[in-house]
Amino acid sequence: MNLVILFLIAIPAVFSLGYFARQFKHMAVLSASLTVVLSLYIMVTQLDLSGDFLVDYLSRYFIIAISSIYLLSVVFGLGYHHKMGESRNMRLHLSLMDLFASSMLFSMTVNNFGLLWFGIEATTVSSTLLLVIEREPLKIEAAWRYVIIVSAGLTISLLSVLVMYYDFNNLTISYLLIHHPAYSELTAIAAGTALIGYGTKIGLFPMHTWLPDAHSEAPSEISAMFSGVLLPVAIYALYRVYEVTASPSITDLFIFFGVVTILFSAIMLPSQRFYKRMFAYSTMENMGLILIGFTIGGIALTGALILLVTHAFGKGAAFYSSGNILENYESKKISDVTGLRERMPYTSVSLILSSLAVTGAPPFGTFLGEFLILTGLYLNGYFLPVGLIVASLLIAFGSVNFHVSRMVFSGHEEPVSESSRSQVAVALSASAITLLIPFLFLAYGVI
Amino acid sequence: MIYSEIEGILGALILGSTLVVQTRSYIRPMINTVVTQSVILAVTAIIIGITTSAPDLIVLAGLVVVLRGILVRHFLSLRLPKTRMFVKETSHGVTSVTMYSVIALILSFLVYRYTFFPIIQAPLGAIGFSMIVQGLLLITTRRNSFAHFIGYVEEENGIIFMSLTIVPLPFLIEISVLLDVLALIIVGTGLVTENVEHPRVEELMG
Repeated sequence: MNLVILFLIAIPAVFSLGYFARQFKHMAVLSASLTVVLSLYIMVTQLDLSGDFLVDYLSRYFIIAISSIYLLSVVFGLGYHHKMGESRNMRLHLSLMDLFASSMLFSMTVNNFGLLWFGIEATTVSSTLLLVIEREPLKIEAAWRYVIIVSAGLTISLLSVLVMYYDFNNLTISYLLIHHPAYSELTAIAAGTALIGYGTKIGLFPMHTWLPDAHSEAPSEISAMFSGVLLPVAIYALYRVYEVTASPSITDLFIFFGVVTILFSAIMLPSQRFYKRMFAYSTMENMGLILIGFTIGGIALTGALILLVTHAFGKGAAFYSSGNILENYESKKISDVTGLRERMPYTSVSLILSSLAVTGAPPFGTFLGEFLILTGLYLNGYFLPVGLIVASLLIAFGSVNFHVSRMVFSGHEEPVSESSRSQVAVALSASAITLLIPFLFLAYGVI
Repeated sequence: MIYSEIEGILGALILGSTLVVQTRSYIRPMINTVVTQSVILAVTAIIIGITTSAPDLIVLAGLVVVLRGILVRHFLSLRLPKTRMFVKETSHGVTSVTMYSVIALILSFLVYRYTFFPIIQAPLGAIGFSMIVQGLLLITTRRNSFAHFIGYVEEENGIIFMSLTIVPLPFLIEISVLLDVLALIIVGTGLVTENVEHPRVEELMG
């Protein structure tokens, strides 16, 4: 058993006991910081494992994204919820954030399809109460939809685990990746049920109905964790099943669901009235693209990894900025936010940068990622999907940036004090990182 | 031979309880029915455990009774409003729900017959599969929090029944699934407020 991975999972889990400690806020920051240090160690040493845990080139990117967004979200949350002081709710919130991060890291490293399913379901259990720190009826309703729809969907992916166990008599991921089982109707059923089950968690159309509600009603740092890393963890689970069960018809099915999800989000985006909800639909679009990238493989897989990491930071920055705006304007409506440039200059910069990043504008990593995914798709002969995706991306780009421009540039407002320094710093640094990611990938030798 | 017939009878009882849940309007009897279903599921696990000499299935049966039969009932009952003796689901008519569930039952049998059965050759698996479908139907057709929970428990019971009749999953994973449902029920009951119905909300549309 590898101690680094054990510590990576155990540190947030143990630090969640900070609920009982006086220094619970410091403990949460320390836990997230240690997780980032361990993730960097895993990345730099290019750790490869396939025993009790599975760590390879793919999971390393996910791990670094999870730990980074976890740290940023903890720091942001401490400022965002400062009015809650040292209340029981605040303690519970930070403890659950630790458990949430631990369950995601467990899912990313576990080497068994059954336990992977358990890890994904554990992320639902640990994250549900994070939505309702303020106990407002609307938030409770959103949390309810999240827990019921996602759990009901995930049960179907358990069917996939059952079918795989029947077919392969083994659930060890690394073993099944090497001893590729021959394609059969059972592998097709396993892939199809995994697509529906994990697809619910990813937010693929038409199983996405919980996603806009949960993202718009969750506290902003939780929206950032949901959008930036939780949904990619579910994509990881689906991709592992796909690796074992892939066939041409399954590839087509996965691409179909990816394209339909992108189309749907492009249709929904122009009519959005609430900015957090708008970013939630933008997440659906990006998840569709990442799924397609993983499915195609080759340069599209590289593109999907770049998109995944950039999107994690970009969408994180978008939600952190949204949180700062909500704190100042006390409204989630796009039409209620005017003159942001004058009223909150730093937040307006992070909002613009992040909205450009998540909609794939050059020179952000998302542009490079999307370009590689579309190239991969084109080279594999999927011409119609390429056309539909390009059209959808243009609509999404126009819609999100039009709404954001209206918020930033329309009207005149008197400058007021921004949110706390830590909140502004987190939003700005997350959006700045999105600009650096292509260079980091270059330095790491991926591109 | 006699054991397989007993399994068949228990499967039929479980399926019957699934259909009964669909037509229930009052929540407390609905909870009792799903608890009964869990107990029958446990008996099935014991019988399969005896016939296949698998002691872990007997342990699993005990856990099903404790976790789903006793604890799930306890947590759900705790949240039932005390001011009202009978909590009634108002969002459906019995006739239409019976019709939907029968149609869903036939369709799920057909899907199982033409997808799983030609490869797996386990006829009782159809019961588990149709339970999953019925659980999903319960969640989608009702607006009551308790009905949603019960639909979810039914789905998970369906998975366990399928697993028992097709290929028992490793014990560690079965335990994980059971604990997971319990954790979800505990977390979910924290979200059940005085208003257990889920109406349309303008801010959560579009």
